[in-house]
Amino acid sequence: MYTAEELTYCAQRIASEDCQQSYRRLFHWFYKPLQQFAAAIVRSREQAEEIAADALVNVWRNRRQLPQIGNLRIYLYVSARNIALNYLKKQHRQSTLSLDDMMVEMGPVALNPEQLFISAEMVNRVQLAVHQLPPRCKLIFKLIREDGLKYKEVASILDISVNTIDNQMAIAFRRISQAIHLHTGPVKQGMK
Amino acid sequence: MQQDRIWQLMSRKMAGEASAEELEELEQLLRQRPDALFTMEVISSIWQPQQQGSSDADAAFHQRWGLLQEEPPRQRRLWPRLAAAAAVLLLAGSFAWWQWGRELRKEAVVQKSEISTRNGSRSRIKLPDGTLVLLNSGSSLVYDDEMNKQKVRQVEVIGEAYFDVAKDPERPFVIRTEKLHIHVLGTTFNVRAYPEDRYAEATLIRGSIEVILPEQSNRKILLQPKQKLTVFNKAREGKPATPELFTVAALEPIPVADTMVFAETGWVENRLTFRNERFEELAQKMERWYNVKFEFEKPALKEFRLTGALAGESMEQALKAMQLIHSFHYRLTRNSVIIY
Repeated sequence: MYTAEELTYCAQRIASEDCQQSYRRLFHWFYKPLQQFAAAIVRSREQAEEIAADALVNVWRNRRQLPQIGNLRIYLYVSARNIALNYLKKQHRQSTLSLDDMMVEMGPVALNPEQLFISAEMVNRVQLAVHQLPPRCKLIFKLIREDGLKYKEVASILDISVNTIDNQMAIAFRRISQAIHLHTGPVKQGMK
Repeated sequence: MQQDRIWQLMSRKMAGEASAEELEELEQLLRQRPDALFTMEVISSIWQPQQQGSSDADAAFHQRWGLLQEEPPRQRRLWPRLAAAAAVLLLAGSFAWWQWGRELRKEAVVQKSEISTRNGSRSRIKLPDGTLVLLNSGSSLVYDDEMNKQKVRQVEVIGEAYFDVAKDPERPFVIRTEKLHIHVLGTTFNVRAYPEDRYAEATLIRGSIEVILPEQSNRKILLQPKQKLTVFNKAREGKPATPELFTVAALEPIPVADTMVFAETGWVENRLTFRNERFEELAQKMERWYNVKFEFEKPALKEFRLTGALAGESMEQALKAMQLIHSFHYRLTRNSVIIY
């Protein structure tokens, strides 16, 4: 992952010096997440790869305007979203975002090595619970956790309210919690 | 709802969105919910995403970077436009494209006509169905003599042509080039598909067209008026074949005298127009326009960017005008221009 400062720095170097190295870093940070985001919309991996690259190419083509772009992350995701919707439109499939019809692929869940007391079994349960989330909920959860986006950013990208994000994240956490405590022994037996 | 409050707060905490008050509230709630505390520990242990492999990103970067380097940049205009004078140059010529013709003959069922123009000449053709075609230099057009009897009116183009298609809702008009197949629904547009150029273009002036990319699993693109589609050609020095890239962009007019022209269709009015084009690419256009060969002795000169329009100028007048803005020398030999 990258920090906000790193991202700002890269954007500045691209805008003012045509810095190839910074642009390459942008690809490293965003290509995969954008590809997964686009795949959720168009349901095609190959197409999603094109879309992710196209969104990043737009940044280079419009690099002189970068200083005027408030938030580069929102810009990238929104442009991937628009390219994806355009593609669907051309396929005569749909032209608006339908969050309940997404195909969200999750990255692998990795255990923080410091927390050895959590078993692989527990990780599997969490992973399964996440996979079984409804599409809208799953996408929001992914964008927040995996892609590290802020609530407000997700709200702009998906054109929903922060309130909706709060609710959907609560659903995800509740379901994960249920999965963790399913058939677990005495720990929470007494808690109920 | 009240029940979900704890999960909302937990999520906000994880995402770094929680305020001090919210963190406090969460603390309170967790005191009565050890099960939720355990959930929080599990989730926080996996919250940090795994670093994902970036080899795909790198491959995508290299592919796109290569293409970006070859694109004409759009943000700067280094050359002021050239003054335009009026004169008309219209010559028609024809010339056999034997290799292409041979291929066509193999499958020829109906009688086809072929019209070609050599470099330095252009031609105006009226097809049997009333469609008007202007054929630019070094181009050729093939059509069925009996296209009026076909269900689909079909023509083939190599090079550049401007179409004003006669309306006939019953029978679609299809233009085929190597990179682009264009389905016309009654309209005016320009197609540019010289095999030696780095990209092929379809530019729509009015009406609507659907462009099909045969090499990209027949991908379909619908163009709006004043838009152009550019498809980049595959062959690149030393690199394996990459998936082709295309772009759709709005046309940008160039001011010429007291009017605006589009670089893409200026030739129709006997103007050689160019927008922020590399000297090398412009030279390629001038080769066709004036029927000469260009040679660059200094490769750096190929990179100069030029914007402008040439109308009646002779080639020497044009070169002299260009010299006013960029310093370069040229000398003429029998059949070529040497830039140094």
